[in-house]
Amino acid sequence: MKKCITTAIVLLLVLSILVVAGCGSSSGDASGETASAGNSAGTAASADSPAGAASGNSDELVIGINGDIDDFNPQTNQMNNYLQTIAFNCYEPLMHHNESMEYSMDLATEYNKVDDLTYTFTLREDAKFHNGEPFTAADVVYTFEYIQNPDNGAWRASQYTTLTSVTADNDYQVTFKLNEPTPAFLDSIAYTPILCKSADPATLSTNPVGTGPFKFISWTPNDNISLEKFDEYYDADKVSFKKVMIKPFSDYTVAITNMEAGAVDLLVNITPDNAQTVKDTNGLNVLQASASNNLMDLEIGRHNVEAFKDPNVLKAMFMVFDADTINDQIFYGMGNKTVSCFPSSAKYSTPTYDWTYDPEGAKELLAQTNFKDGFEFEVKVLTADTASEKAMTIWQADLAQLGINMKISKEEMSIWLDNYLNRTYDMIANNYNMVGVDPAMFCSIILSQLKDYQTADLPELNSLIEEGAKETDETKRADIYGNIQKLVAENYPVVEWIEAPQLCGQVDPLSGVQVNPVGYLFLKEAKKS
Amino acid sequence: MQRSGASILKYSLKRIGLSVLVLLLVTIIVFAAVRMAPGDPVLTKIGPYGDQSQENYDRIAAQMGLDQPVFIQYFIWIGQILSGDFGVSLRNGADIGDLILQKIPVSLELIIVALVFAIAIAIPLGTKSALKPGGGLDQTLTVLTTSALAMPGFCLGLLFIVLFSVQLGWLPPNGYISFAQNPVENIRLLIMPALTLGLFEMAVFTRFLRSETISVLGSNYIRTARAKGLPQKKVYYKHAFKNTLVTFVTVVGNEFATLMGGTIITEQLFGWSGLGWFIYQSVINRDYPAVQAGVLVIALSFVVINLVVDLVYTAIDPRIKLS
Amino acid sequence: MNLLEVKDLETHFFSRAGVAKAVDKVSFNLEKGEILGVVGESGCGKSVTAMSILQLVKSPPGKIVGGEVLFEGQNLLALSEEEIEKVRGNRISMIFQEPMTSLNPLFTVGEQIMEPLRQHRGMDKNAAKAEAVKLLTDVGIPLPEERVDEYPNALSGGMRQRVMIAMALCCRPEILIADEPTTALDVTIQAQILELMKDLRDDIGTSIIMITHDLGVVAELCERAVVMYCGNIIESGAVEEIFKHPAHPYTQGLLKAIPKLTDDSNSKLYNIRGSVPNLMDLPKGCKFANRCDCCMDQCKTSMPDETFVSKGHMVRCFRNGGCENE
Repeated sequence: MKKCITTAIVLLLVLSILVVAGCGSSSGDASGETASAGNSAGTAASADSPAGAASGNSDELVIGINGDIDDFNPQTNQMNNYLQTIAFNCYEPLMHHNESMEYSMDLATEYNKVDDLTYTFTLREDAKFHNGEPFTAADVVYTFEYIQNPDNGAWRASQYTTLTSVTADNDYQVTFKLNEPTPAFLDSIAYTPILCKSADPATLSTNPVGTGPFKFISWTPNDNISLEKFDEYYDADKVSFKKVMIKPFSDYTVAITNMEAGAVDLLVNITPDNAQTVKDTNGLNVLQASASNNLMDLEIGRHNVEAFKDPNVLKAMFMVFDADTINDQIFYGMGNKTVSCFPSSAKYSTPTYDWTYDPEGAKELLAQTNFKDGFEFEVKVLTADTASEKAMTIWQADLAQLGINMKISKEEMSIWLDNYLNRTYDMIANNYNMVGVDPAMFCSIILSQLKDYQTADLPELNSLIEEGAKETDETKRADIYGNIQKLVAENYPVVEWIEAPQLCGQVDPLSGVQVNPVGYLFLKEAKKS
Repeated sequence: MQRSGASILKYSLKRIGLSVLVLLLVTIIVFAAVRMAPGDPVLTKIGPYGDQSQENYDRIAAQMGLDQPVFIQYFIWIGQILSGDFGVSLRNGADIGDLILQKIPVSLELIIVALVFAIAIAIPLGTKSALKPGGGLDQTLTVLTTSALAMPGFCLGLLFIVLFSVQLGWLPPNGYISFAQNPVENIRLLIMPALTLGLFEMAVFTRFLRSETISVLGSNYIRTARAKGLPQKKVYYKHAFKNTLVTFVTVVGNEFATLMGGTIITEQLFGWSGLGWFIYQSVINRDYPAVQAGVLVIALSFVVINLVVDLVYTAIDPRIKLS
Repeated sequence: MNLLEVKDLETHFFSRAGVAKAVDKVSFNLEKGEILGVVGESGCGKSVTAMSILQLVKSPPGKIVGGEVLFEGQNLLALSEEEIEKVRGNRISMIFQEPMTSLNPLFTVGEQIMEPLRQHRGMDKNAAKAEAVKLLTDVGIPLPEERVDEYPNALSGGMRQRVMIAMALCCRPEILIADEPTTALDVTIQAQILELMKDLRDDIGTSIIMITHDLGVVAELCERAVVMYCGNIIESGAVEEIFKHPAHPYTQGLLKAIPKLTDDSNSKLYNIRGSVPNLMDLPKGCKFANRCDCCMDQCKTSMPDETFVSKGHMVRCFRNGGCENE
């Protein structure tokens, strides 16, 4: 009698949980994750029962991002979740790269390259800042003064080291003067938001004032960021959303559930696994950029590990790096194999990588080096970087066949950053989103930083990088960057192993959201039907 | 009886006075701990693409006040605290005092509602199941409470969201709005997180009350009460219950204090921006003053809660003296 | 008619290990106004017998499985819980052994005395309090007006037992069952309490069932006594008669075990050899058989019936006079 009651209740409990879980997952049987009890009930429910705040409300757009934004200053915040959402929807640059990586004009109406050292921009006359101030050339001048003032800690300063002066010729024309030819200059301009000169610089981090279609209303930390349509925006008639709400989520499974419930319309920067779930859910779809500048890379501590000083060792290791399997399993085939260390959309991109999977060849090659008995090393991966972690796990098994013992060490942001910036790693997994098409950016942001570490013994590489940044002749540039790619491919200071897809999840009624290959969103023309 | 308003006040002040020492110790420990953790707030601020030069590093370190020797940093911080200034966030200069004041009511609302719910259910169920140990009600409760305790909060919360938001569409899955701004919405958003937190607490309290009641019911004074011919109900609800209350108050106080900083998972799951989540984020970002302030607030709440619990004891149990 | 008639009372305790027959067909009577002693060593079933009368046995694991308890003709064992609540503390009261823990520490002494008054007599608060003060005076507690508002922890053991007595007698019950009330108190206090009980019996007329293992208490206080062993009454009668002419080998052993001032200080203390059998595994026949100095074969196979040695003096023994060698 006694045992009966207990058993009965336990069974009842387990059954009810299974039913709820089975109903709850409206993904089809293909995912195979949950019990199939109540499947029919599941599919019917999700499509037409949105409950949350933003559901049928076509005036409001709710965006989910990964982690909170705690600094609204566009010149100091370099985090993806900020750059992808606020930076180019509250602020605007003079021009930006659209989905096909062509320049699309914003605050400027046209630009003119007067000569290698001089650029002029004609500015639009009908733009206003959120505080009512009109936009003029003085604001552009102010912006670059701000960036170049070291006290402000603007991270784009390194892109403007050759900029000597910015002058307002009149209220609506600006001239930039460089002291050296800088072919990457226009790409830099295309991603530099313009500040308001009359906004109090002390409040830039907490109260951004830009010219963009959405103005900042409030930020409740870890809760939401509230934006409203800027009615005096010069293209206000194209903007259909009256309000935009940005919500930080630390867990995207929860965020996707919120989307199902109708509380979130757009989820930015989702992982390929998330994308699969979204694909399989009724009412949701995946928004993918046509191309991707998002390179997953491995920086290789050649200065710390003996074995890595021999290029043949690294060559053998990468011969067992199964790029196809990794792309299929981790990215569901949505990624693109890299051809060289530059993204394929970059200028002067030349095929220099060979991803042929050849374990036999690798064994032979390794046997000819001093490390034929194998060795040990550790690769550091950011805890949030699940894609790299999975790729490393696959590679780890292959490396073990060669007798090479790779340990994978997951680290949280501060610790990972410490190791990354001090270059105290054997190998570290990172990802670099190349902003623009000019490879000079990649070289300066990634490769140049290594010149005291793993590229210290590659003087030719370092001098080529310096040359390329200021060479203006196209043919010569093609030659220089071709060589750079070759040297990187041969010596392995870094290896870019895949172009990861730029993915967002959105609800079916949402349209008009533009994602460029850098992953930045442009929400001006987004609307909900 | 012996307790007058004046003696209570005197006692409370004395306790708070002693607690200052404890709090001081807490400040030292948290100050040191946060600096001993690997990870550098200056580097975190610079980020992977910022200016990595030494000058930039030094400048940012100076801005953050981290270039001074550790002792000096400590005394500067203590000085600020004593004048009521919790400092500014290393990340964006926002006033930490304001942030914390914003977050405390959020956490408090969640915790108090969850606890009230838990107590309201635990008292009748826990005491009733003790009257017939091994009976139908008792067995049912044992299974349910064990399950509630075993199930991780995240799991439970997610199940609720799937059930109530996705499936049934009754409740919004995420978000917070203050009661003052929109009472109806506040309550709708409160239900699931309070349930998630409350179910666990209810399980804890029910099990405690059950065992405590069984223990009390075996006491000699209960035997006396029955022998006097008092009706069962009176024996249980007057004599037995008051005696379980003393230790029950301790348990509730403990849980309350623990929850002050322990609601991270529920807060994060339901998008409630409270103290727990705030401290967690600050730790990730190595935002030293924010972590210090947050931990100090929690320590303070422990002190206050313990004091209140002790005062409640002395009100219930005449054997315990205010001394 | 007898005030109380206990007939073939059987109370067993059930557990996984087996059934313990704590009270195995016990019968005795109590007359109006008399003080009856129930004597026996620990575990013989005297407390359980007392608790059974008022249905106070903890159930589970205990259960009254048979017998009747006739109180002025009405069977108490057949009463429902509600009905017996009207009897408890009202017409039959009980006090217990540990005064230190028998009062609820969170309520004042006065309040606890007031409870039965308000419950059974329907008194209002003020009347009940006045009565409580009077009762405290009756049981000999000084400064009762102050004591009535104090908590039990402010009183000594002796005082608490007096409070218990006050509580038990407040509704003038016809029977007071006292389960070893003085065992936990020191000797001088013990004497006082016993005096008090006797006086109260004389004043109010309450019959007392005095449960004790102390033969001295029996001698001082009781008029009649029953001796229990292993759940049975093995001897009963007037106290003087039992003390002078004990008829059961067990009783004889008990009396012999009392040290006398005239004993030689070098001689060993007498004790009954052997030990009490396991209640779950009782032997067939007389339960005292394995410890009896004059055990016969018959004793081992069957349980002796009640026989009368003289008027009012009952014994359960085949020898009908105990062991010859005394």
